[in-house]
Amino acid sequence: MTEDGAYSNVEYVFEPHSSTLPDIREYLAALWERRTFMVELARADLRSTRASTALGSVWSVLDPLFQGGIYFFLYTVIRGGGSSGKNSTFLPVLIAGFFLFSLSIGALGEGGNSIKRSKGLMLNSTFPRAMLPVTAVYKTFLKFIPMVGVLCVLFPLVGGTLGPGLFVLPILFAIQMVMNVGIALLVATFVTLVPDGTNVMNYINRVLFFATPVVYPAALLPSSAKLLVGWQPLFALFASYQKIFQGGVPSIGLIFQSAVWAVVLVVLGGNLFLRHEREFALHL
Amino acid sequence: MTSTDAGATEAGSAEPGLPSIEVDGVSASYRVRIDATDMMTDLKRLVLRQRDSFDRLIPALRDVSFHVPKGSVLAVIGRNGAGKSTLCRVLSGVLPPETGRVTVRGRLNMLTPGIGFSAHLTGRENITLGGLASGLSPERLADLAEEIGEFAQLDEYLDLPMNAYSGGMRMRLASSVAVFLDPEILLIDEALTGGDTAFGEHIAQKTAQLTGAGRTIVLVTHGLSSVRTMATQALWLHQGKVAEFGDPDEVVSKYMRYCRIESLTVDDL
Repeated sequence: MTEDGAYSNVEYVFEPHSSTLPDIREYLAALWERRTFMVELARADLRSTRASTALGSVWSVLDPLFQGGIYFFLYTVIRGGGSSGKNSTFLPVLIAGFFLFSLSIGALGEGGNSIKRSKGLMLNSTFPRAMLPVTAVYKTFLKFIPMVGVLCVLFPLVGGTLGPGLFVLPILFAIQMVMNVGIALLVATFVTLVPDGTNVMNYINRVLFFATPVVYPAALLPSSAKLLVGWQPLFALFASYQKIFQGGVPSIGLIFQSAVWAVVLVVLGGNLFLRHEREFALHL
Repeated sequence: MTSTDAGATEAGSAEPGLPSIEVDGVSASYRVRIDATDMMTDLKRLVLRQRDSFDRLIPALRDVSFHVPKGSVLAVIGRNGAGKSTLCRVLSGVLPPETGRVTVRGRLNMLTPGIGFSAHLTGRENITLGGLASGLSPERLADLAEEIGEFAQLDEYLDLPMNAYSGGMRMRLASSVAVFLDPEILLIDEALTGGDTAFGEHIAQKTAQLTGAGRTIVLVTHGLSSVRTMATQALWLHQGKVAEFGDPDEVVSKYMRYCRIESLTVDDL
């Protein structure tokens, strides 16, 4: 506490909203100052979502196990591939791709709703608003950690093999996390400012699922279909992931395309979010 | 000078002697969504592009001006819907003003009912989150959580999820967190009217300690007796405008005359 009667040097001036960007360096410094808060908020949020279940945090391992089990069932029983059959060669790629895709879809859903969901906090506290979507992305990362463990066991079990492309995996993952922050900022702005945003996002989720090479191999996509879906931000990233999980190495072109999309999304999402964040309280 | 709010603009170093809060010609509104009752109305709105029929801006504050010197207690009174809570949100930077300018000099904590506490988390976890959001270190918070729990009279409830708390317990915790987190300026919205009388006195003592230490307090309340005992200035808001501003006794007397109330025993207007 400062000495009796002495005040800190903090001074705020609040004026009518204009869509001008705040000082980015100062904004990022304010976010960095609250990093412990963001980490604790994400953990607490995760705990509270599991608080009403009997199995609690056991779900973090059960959920990916069940999801993997569903795809195993689809490919080995329904399609009749068998563990050594031709159909099953894509199974490890599909499971790995699906787990990673759930990370991006999680960022889109959790990040997108992060402002609306925190109405109480938004209307009663002052803080850099970007903290909420960034925390949501961190929360999806925390949820993903047990999936990595499950994947490490499941992937070789269903016949998956990895080649030298494994070394590219951390780079792609870093690109995906940056991309997720951009997606969360962009969607949070859209969902908060546009009254029908949440409904529209339900369809965008589904379109992304089919337009991203997760349930089908990117290499098998006809060129006309590639023209249609190849432009979307997640395509190059997940095509790269598929290469790695098929034992190969993704091309530099695909990695570069993913990295460019990550930068574009963060710049675009950050720009829109920061220009409009002071309006958010009006729309809650 | 630092400015941690994205919408705040830099205004140079705070000089001693300047007021803690300066509000100059501030107006603010709320956007209210008007829902249609049937599909035809929705379609008509879309086809005719009647944007105004989707949203309506409700003016909550109109040309409000006042200054709060450092170390003083400003009580904001007025009937429900007068704009008191909106004023708190504008002062804390949550809601941007439509016109005018607000200058706040000092670290500000806002205490309002339901300040974003999570009901699934324990009281201790909520204290930690509130403290981290205010920039306190985790080490300092570990000690502070015990002190706050004791002050809020939570006993063994401190480590139970907050959905096991009564309304009064939640209010006590929220009040205690706000006064313990080292505020230089404290905005209290209806907090002292929550909880029981004994706790009201308890927190009034703590608030008096803060003012004794030169802190500035803005107290939004319906409790006219606390205005007379605690405040050094009073602001009466009526339909978003300043009806009276000045000495608490005079402002309260005029407000009571307006409300045709003759006794302070009726504490809630």
